[in-house]
Amino acid sequence: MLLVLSMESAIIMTAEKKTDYTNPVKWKGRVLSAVFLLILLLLVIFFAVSMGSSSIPFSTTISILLSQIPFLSIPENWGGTTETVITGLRMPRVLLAGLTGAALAVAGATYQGLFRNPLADPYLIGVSQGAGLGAVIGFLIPISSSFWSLNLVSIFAFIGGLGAVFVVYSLGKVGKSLPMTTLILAGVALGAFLSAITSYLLITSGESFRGMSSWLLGGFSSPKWIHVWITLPVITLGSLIICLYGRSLNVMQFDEEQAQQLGINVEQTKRILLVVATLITAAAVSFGGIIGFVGIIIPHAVRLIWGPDFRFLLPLSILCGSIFLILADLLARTVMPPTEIPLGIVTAFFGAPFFLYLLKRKKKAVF
Amino acid sequence: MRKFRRFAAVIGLIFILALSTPFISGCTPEVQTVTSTKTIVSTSATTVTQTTTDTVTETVQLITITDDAGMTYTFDGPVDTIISLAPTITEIVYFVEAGDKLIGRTDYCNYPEEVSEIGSIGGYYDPNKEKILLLNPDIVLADSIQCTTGDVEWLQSQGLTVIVIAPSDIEGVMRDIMLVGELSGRYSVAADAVAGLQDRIDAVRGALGGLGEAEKPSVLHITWFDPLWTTGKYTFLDIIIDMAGGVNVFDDVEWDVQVDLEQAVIRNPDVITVVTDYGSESSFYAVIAEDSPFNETNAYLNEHIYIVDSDIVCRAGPRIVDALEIYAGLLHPDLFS
Repeated sequence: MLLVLSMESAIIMTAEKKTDYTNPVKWKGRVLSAVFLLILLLLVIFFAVSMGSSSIPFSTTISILLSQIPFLSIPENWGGTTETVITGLRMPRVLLAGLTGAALAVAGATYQGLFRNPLADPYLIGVSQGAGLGAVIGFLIPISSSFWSLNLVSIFAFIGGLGAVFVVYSLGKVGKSLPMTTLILAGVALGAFLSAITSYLLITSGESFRGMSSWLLGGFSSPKWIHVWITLPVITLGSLIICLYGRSLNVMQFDEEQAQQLGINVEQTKRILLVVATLITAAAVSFGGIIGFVGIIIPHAVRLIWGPDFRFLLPLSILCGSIFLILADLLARTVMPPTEIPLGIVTAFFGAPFFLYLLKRKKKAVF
Repeated sequence: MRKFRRFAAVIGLIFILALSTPFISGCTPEVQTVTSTKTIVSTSATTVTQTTTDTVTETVQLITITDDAGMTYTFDGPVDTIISLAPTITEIVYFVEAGDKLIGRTDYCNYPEEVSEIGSIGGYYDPNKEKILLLNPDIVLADSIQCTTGDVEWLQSQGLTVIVIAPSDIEGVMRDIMLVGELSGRYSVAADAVAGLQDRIDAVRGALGGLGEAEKPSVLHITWFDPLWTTGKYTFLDIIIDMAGGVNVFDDVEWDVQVDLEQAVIRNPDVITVVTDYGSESSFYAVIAEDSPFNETNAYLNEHIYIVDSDIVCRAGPRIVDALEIYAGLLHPDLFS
């Protein structure tokens, strides 16, 4: 699935290649990097599916994976629970982590470009606080029924995330234009307000505290295929749309007025990118919880290695975000077996030192 | 330049100190005001107790007890007013028929039903300490949690007698029931009740006596689902599962812990027990029984997934024996009818 997603971004890049004559050497290096990352991503997916807290022999993993292909008869010599672990738990978990990492990284890159602010992350204008409040309310509603086997928490988180951004958007709009500073301020203020409610509900929740706190820390501890099937189209399509706006984002790094003069409909572009980035973030967050760090650091790491050109930054962020979150999740479930560490802790604990290393090595101004 | 930096650092330090002084000095008067209100309350209360003790003192012998924190206290007679800071403790107080002495309980105390008539002093992690001081009980019965949050220490510093009730095994529960019985002057009630509990435990032990290791089903106990939390070593549930003739699949972890779902599936439990949430409902059960990652485990295939009342199985009070009987019945239905 991710293959499709990444291939699409590779296609965009090769398509755009024809139009750029300025720096052919860099183009080549970047495209090669993208191909390399794509292969790496596939290897990481396979690696992450075959590894886990319980030791299942490598050959068994391969046999189980092969047996999933129709018209291929593989003698079944493994237990039912082993198959559940591989196909029912690890596969959706790895794919979900990959999709979420891709979504958060590309949304983060988009937000950083839109707001021209290196501190921007996908949660800047209230998605996480809205989703957090939605999720906590979902935990408090005493209904055990499920809707398409989705729990209320995911549905409420999605609605909450989108709702919060919608409110921020309406508040931040000045006439027909959308000044980014007003938007950020509105986002921060509403975010603080929603967080206050969430914190209150959290401390008065009693038993539900456990579920809520681990949701807020993020993770994929009970993955389901349905989660993959819902997020896959949203995130693939959203990321694809964002990647198409790489050139516009490049131009918008100058003054907005200048971008307007260069023939870009700035207001419309901002609106489309905001909506799409928010949508994929909300989709990712509603199943993975609020996973910090990925959305802010991956785009910066990509920028440090491959430069600030958004036409590459966006697709490369998708690939790196996927790889990073799959590996982080692998650590979360294998570092201290049989217990599991919340993913949000792992992403920051292992990701931050790596990023600081990159920062130190480059020794140049970022952003 | 360097000089300037040093100068700036000194100025900065002074600035920080100047900023923090109001906080430091601000703390002290606050504590003082609390102490002063306390003294007023306790003087009015001592006059009341004096009148009552005048008539009783001579006939009562000294009561000396040692609580679960290892502290020894001596009382010159049974206490008259008790505040309980945990549902388990409230259950013990009622079990020794000392409910009439209870003047405060937590929001979570819901058993027995009569407890609703008693005023709450707030939550379990965050009891309203002012309210406790104003009620001025003879003793406060606290849980181990309130030792870690510092509430026990604080209440003691305000002159209250705080006794820690935190048993770590079934024998400890019995001991604490006796302790509360002794403190509240219901010693004989407690002794009879504990003997009754002991008989029930012995009955279960007797019935399971000849059980071989191979006949012990493996048990996964789910205390929270999504993410999956289970109980490991040192918990009462681990003890109960063991006593009821089962093996906890997660006996390699400690306390209540989040575990990898994959591990729970691969360990293939014979029986899964799920606690109730939201009162008597279990939303976890619905998830686990319907669209389940456990659908290849022995427990699922043989339909051995059960809901257990979290109030009974999670509280280390007298009902822990009910929990033992429930588990014995679930794990060995052929031996217990």
